[in-house]
Amino acid sequence: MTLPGDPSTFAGPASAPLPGPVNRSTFFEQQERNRAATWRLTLLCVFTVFCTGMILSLVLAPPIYGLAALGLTLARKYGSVSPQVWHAFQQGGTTFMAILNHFGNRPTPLPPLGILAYAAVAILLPGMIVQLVLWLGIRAMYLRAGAGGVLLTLGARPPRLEDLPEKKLVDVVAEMAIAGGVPSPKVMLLDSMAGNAAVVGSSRQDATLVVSRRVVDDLDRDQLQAVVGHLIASAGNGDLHIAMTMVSVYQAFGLLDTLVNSPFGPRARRTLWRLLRMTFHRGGPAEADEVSEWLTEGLRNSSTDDIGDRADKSQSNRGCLSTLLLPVIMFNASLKLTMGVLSGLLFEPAAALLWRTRRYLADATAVQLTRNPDALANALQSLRECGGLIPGGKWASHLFIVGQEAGGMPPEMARRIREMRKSGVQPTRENMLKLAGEAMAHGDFSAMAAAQTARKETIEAATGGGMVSLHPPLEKRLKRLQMQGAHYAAGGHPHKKSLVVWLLLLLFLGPLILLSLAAILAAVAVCILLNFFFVILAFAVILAIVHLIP
Amino acid sequence: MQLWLFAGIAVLLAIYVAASFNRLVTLRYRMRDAWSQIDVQLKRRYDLIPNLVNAVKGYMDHERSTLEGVTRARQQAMAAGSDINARAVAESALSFATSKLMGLVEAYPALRASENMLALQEELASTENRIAFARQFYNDTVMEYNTARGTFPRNLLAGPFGFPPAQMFALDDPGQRSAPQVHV
Repeated sequence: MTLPGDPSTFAGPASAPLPGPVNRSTFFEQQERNRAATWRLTLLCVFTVFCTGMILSLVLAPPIYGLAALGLTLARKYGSVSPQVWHAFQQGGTTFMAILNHFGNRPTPLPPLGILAYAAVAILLPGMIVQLVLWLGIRAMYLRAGAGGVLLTLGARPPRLEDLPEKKLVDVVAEMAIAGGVPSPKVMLLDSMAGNAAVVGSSRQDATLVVSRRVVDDLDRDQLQAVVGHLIASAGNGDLHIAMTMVSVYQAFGLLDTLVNSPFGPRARRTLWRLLRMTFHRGGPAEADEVSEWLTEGLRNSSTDDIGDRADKSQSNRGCLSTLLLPVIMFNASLKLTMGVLSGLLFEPAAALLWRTRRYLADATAVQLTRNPDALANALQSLRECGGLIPGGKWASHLFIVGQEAGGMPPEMARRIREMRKSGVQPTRENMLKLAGEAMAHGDFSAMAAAQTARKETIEAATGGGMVSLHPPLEKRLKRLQMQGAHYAAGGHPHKKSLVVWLLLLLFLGPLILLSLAAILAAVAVCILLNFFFVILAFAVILAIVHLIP
Repeated sequence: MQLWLFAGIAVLLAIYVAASFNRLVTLRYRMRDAWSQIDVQLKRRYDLIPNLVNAVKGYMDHERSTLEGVTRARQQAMAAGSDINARAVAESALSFATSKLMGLVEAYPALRASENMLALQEELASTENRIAFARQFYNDTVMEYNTARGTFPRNLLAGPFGFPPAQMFALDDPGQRSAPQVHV
């Protein structure tokens, strides 16, 4: 068996003498490294979700206890409640008031530490349980539906076997499945101008590769093999399961938001109705993706908010109704703010890091399957030119082999760069700029501008304006492939910022960033407190009314 | 007290031995499955070769010896039986013969451009790849199995339990190490 460490075994493109990487490693080492990183980052993700859930529990606790108090009072008034329960509840309320008094105008001594710990658990636990149940429920549902099913509805078609390039794709998929020792996945083709490929499905046994026609046209057989190898490796490593679990966290947040909205808005009720229908009628994967889009819409976009609409409308009609709705609006806003800020600051970066690690792992596994690091390196470079996002909604973009940094190049320019690389020259930044200038001189400006705008819109739609890309930078992936023996010279970006520049940037921007972070967290804290007081106040009023009613 | 300690250790040991045994059995079955995959792909090539010979026969009458060489190599490979070494030699001879034939095809432009030939070429290239990848996967499973049975302390158990070291499917003849050149 030949080891990949020996460069003489690769029939890579004849290229100028390259400085061999000092830190040569094998794909086995890379896989080990990324598997270990997966564990660490999974722990980090769990921790961030736990933190977010804990703080959300603070928002959820007042209404939960308010409802409990209301329920108990009503039950006591019109039925019977065991005296122990009522006593325990009153005791809890007294303790809580004692703690509040300690921070109030007339400081009273704090209760002992043990009681404080109980109080903390009592405040956090109900919210945590509610969230856990929501999350487990929605996860179970979406594990069944699978990831990225929406791609299959966007004009995906089975390959035509009488067409030689598409037959080649089918053959390559069968070959790579043999190399990985997995059952051969289904293949679907997308007639898209953007070259990209994804793996969708619910498990490694039920995976489907979605490949755009441009990949089949622009990549040679070795490169196609590497791309398919990456996707099969990704499915074989269990990435589909990981992706669904990560997305289900968002969906659980969205479901919480929808549930809170449902008494006040038709949109939320409609979403819940569709979710229920999907649960019992077992709608297809595409339906699942659409419901998921609906669920999380409220999180991303506050203008589609039912409560906000209701408040606006009532303000113009009846001023007093909006005052009555104030606690609800407050609760809603603080829930959204907390979820948005915390998932944006904690969960999203952790999840992105985890997913990037999985991409490196799939790259290293693809090298194991093809034993040809050059092929994958060349494929990634080709995809940088001909690639691009395929508009497929927020829940599919991470399943593709390359992310948003790919593409955006006029076809003519992509062709010339490909030719340049075929002749053994790494295109440098200057070369690229020159080619871009030539393309501009010949090309139709309005068409190019339109293409750029369309690309930007696709990126917006596909990432939902997220802060961090879920794909590692192509440059880094190529560097890692170089460590595994690929002949790749980092050409594109000669201008590396020095350490001094970074330090200066950190010195100036660091305090600013810290300050804005502190401000955001303070806003969240204020919101939680306001929510707390308004909700307690509202329930106090309601309880008083209940008491007054004979 | 001491009795309990010994009993606990004995139970743990028994669990370890059982787990090792099961792991070795799993790996051996995976290896056998991988081996049968190679067989499937080799059969695919046997089925393909008559088509190939028929497709080119009309064009290259005076290359009869090459065509007969391919057919003979196919028969020898099919007759090689289950011995890994004999099989490997026969199969690589067949690879060599078909690649020679495909090299000759290059000299006949009309043949090379025919649609049927293009499809056959793709089929052959894919089959060669499938054989290579099946072999690679088999060798990976052999490596995993051999590592599992050869490392301490499992190497103490592998012998008594009847898990002999497995052999990789390698090409020993250095002249045949170069991959067959199939132009697509």
